[in-house]
Amino acid sequence: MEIHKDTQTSVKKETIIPEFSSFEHQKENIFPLKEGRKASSLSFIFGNDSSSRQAGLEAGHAKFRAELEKVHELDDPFDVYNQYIKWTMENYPQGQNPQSNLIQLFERALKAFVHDTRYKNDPRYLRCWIQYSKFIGQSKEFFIFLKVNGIGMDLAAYYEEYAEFMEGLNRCKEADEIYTAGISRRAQPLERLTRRYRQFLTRLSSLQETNNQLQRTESSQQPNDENLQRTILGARDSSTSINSTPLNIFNQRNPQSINVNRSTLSSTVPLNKKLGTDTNEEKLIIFHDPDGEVGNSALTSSEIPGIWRDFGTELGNKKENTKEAEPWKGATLAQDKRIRMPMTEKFEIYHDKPETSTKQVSSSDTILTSNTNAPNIRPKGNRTEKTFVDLNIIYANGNEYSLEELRAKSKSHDRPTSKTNSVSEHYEPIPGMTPNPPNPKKLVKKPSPTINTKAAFADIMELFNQPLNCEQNEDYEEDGEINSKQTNFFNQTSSDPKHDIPKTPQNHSTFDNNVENIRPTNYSNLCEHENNRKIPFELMTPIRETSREYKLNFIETVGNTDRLNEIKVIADSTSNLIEKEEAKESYSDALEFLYPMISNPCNPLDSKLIDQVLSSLKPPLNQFPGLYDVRDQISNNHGKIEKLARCSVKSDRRHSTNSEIPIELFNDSFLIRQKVGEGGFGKIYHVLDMNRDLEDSQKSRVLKLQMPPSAWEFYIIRKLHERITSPMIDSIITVHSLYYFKDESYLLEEYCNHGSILDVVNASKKSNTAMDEILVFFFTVELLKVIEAIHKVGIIHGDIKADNCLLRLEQTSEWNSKYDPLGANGWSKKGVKLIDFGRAIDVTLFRSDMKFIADWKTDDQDCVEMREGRPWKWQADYYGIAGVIHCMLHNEYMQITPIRVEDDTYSSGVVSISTRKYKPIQSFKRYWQGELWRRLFHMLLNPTLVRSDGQLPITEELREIRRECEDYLVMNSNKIGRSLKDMLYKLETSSEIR
Amino acid sequence: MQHELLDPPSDAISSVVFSPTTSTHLLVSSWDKTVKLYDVVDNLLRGSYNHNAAVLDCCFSDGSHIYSAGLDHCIKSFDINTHNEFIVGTHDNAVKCVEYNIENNIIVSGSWDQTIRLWDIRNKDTQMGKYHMGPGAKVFAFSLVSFQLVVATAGRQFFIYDIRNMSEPLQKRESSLKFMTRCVKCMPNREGYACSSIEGRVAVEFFDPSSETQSRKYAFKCHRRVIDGHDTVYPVNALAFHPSHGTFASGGADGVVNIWDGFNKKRLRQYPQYPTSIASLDFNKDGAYLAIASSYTFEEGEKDHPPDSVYIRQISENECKPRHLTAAAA
Repeated sequence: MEIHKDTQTSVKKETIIPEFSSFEHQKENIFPLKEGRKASSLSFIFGNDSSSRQAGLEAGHAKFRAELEKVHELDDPFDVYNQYIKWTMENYPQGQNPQSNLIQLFERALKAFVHDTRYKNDPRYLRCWIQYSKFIGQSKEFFIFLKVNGIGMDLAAYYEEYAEFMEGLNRCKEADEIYTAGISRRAQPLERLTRRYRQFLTRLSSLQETNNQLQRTESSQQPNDENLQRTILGARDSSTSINSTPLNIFNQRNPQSINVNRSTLSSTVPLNKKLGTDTNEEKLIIFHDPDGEVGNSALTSSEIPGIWRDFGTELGNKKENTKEAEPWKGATLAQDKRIRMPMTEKFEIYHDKPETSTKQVSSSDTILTSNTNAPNIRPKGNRTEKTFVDLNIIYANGNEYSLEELRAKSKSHDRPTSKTNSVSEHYEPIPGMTPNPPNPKKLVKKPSPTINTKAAFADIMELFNQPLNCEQNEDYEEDGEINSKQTNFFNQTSSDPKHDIPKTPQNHSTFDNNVENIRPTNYSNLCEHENNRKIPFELMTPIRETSREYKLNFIETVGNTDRLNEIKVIADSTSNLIEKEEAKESYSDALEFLYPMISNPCNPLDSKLIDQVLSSLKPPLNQFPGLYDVRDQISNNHGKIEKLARCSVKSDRRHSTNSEIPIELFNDSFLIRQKVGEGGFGKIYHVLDMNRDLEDSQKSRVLKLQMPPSAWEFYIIRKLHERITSPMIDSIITVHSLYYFKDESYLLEEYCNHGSILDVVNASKKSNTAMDEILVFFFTVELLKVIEAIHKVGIIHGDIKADNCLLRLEQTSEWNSKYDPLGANGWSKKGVKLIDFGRAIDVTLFRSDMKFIADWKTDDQDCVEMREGRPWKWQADYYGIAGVIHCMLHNEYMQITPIRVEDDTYSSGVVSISTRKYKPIQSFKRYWQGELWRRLFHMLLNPTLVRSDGQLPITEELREIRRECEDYLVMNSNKIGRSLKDMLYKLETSSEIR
Repeated sequence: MQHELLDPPSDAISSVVFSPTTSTHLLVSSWDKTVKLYDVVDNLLRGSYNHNAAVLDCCFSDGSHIYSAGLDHCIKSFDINTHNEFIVGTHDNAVKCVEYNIENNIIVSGSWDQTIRLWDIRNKDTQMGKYHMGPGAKVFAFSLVSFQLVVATAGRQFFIYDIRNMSEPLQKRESSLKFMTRCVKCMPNREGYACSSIEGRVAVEFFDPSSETQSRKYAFKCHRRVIDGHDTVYPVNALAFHPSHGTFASGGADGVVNIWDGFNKKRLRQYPQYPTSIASLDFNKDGAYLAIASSYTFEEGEKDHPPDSVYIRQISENECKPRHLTAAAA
């Protein structure tokens, strides 16, 4: 806009052309102009911060607005608009947007001068129109409008623009007409117009040329091509017929298609003639415009009747079918026909009509409304209304509970969500348990009277636990109450004077607290108490807690005095150790001696944890009989064993025994017979023990290879055999020895040749039968018995499934066909044998409130808690047994489904409303003992619902139901044709053959 | 224009409260037993302290003193600058709400023990008054503006007190909504209050008992959605008045926040649905930010739900202005 006449200035300007990078980041926001934009202004616009730019813009607008005020007094009023538009376009590189209001500005300027004769042929005014048309999108109407109003009729720009537009639409004939009309009218500058026209003609002829060539090649090479390409209304082959008329009415709108090119061609043929460049051999195709659109040739002005005075605005043109606002008085607004209230009433009156489903809902709900004060679904017009919250829960038992109260009541907030302890008892309105509000005075820490080391220690302890002391104090206060209430091991021992267990009341309180609240013991608090009581160092360490618990479990379950003494020794040795630590007064050492701070719940199979447990055993692991601790040696025998196993399978094993190479493990040698199984943790081989002077029949062993090595299973099985004294020990696999190398470990176990329950199930599945219910009862009883036994001694198997339950069908001389639950008459020789204790947990190593979390990938065979990532404990085995029973009954793995818990469980307050009840998807057969099975599955799948307080384990309850099963067995074991003994015998023989 | 706060609480959010002095300070109390202080513009967790149990409500007195209360029955005071904390006092049951009254320099607390108690914050354990709401009338919500105290309790009761004379309620009303009250908030112009129920309704009521004023009260439906042919009605958990315009926001268990023009009975805005229930809402002191706690509010018991989060929505100048005011200005 500014013209720099001073060359120096312009040079200067040029030297400071700003870098593209200064506004490159905004390049998408720049609306292209035909004449381009000044880099300097762009960089100025985008370089400045928005506020100063905004101020500049405001000033500019104000200036122009002021000028427009007095526009009528000017000689050239359009000039103001023109400048304003130019300024706006320059300063709003985005083009039209709400800020620039460019289009509105255009419209204002253009509208003002449409009928002003001064500007009819003003190039600025015309340019303005053309620019405007670029923003709103050009159309034929636009040019016609200009023509009608005589704008730019003597200006070349109009014709050029119009012709270009038409050419763009491939309507070259019309473009040609426009150019000729412009030239004939001698529109200025005429020279430019004629030049443009010539250029147009050249473009046209070259286009024609290529099209001709294309057509010629097409017609020569592919004579049928035209037929192929002919569109819907295409007529005869045009090469010979003059009358050929391609009637494709779409051609003008599809400039891309070849047909369109052709029609373009045909319409331009006369031009070629005129130019004398008639190289086209093809006959003319007469242009046909069926809907007469093109017939309304652009330049015939007669098509606009009357005067077209207003082109309208962009907004106005966009607005379609908008009804003008009219006064509301007397007007009726169209209503949605469906919402008509009287109709619903009618429906209710005519009972003979079939009731609609919504109607049914509403009628039942009216009953509901009258019965309860809180219906969830109510009729509302034609639609039912449903409150999102369950009003029955909110208005339970005539009380009203806010959502917060419900959440507070829910069990989930008893569970620890963070490091601090939950104080559920603080708010749960349990009668008789009104808690004492924490007294803030107790928060004040008493100054420690002891020396620096103690203070330092307290500080360290503080790091471990942030929970506030007041709750501990409170626990302490409630101690007596809890003592009287609870019958756990600790209380029993504390009242038992025989056992010399160092115990202070505050320890005790913490213990009791642990029963309810799963949380690391509050060590610093303990210390504080101790400080107050001036007990030098009576820190209760988890290891002692463990040994104590361990001992207590023995007292409870085993009752064996010998063992007790043994354990006492252990306990004593532990305390000795601690005393030693005390003597040194080195607390860091003491800490080292402790277990790590185990989180609760923890992953029971965490290798670090297991290592920790095994390394801190008293007596140490390597003093266990049968353990060959060769962790300093590398065995690397697994490859060899695998090879041998394959060889021995190939060769006839009965004859090649002598030729086989024995495997040496430590000092023992084995002959590998066969691979029996393979799992994620290792491989299992059937071997012959060559060392001991055994009879051949007893030489058979199972060698379980584990990589990486683990002594855990060995430990668990040893402990089981140590702790279980009842005959039930027969139902647990015996382990002979463990060869514990650095890289792998070998567990030598007894060999059972009858296969597993899974084998039985698969066999019956193969023969399309199922195990007899009596047989299932028998194994169920056996499983319940063995699980009772191991749970009683504090072991969780953790991986009970059909393939881990081997059949124990030993030979017996006397075997009565009538079942005996006590194992008499040979029945004790029959049962199951539990194997694979790799996932087992010794709960006596943990605090009694410890729960576990599975970190392995879970599936349908893992208990619900594991699958949902919730902490679990005994549930794992219950679910496992249910799975095995289900497998036996249905020949299929169990799948379970949740069922709704009755509403009243909520209001009882004990069971959280979140508790779901599960049952197997498969239903029991009609002729089975459905009721008994249902109860058993309910107990096994929902163990927390069995007792009113949700406590686990439910060993007693399971024992009860097992008795019922046994009774059934006694009654029904000896039926003719369905004798349990026969069935077992059959299993025994068939499995032996396998 | 909104962003989510980093480091949100690890359990359900019970309340979000902006500071009365610093427009960017936001207090968040949670069931994870913490009270956390955020700077919403810097998106920074400035501090946190713990209760022994879930925290149900919190408030500021001035910009540096915080009061909070919850399931541990205690009302705790915390000084942001010195980190001093002490127990102001205790109720006999969980404390549902706590608010500071600047006119009297006292703390008001309401509890499920069916009492409202006033506390002198200058002294520990100085209970200035204990007022029983009547049998079964657990305090579910209250709101305080100047001397007016509106208490909503179980049994759909409303008590309106003058805080200077708590011996007798000025008015005792039954809720105009048919179901349990979820939230009550006083209008900033002290003329009345808005309350919401678990059944998708909000009522606007006025203090003045004259029939002329009372005729202006109304209730309307909101936070509803058609699901499977049922018009599902969600609890309206949260209300918050804009401090200058007097319009208010409502948040429902449908995860939707609406802005209402109570004067013209118009909805001004509906924001896109948040991941889960709206647990609490608060405008900051100049009304430039709206804190939105999107946190499951236990409508369907224990279940999996989207993570608890706090969104800070920047409120543009006209976003919460009543419509006729904008028209007049234009």
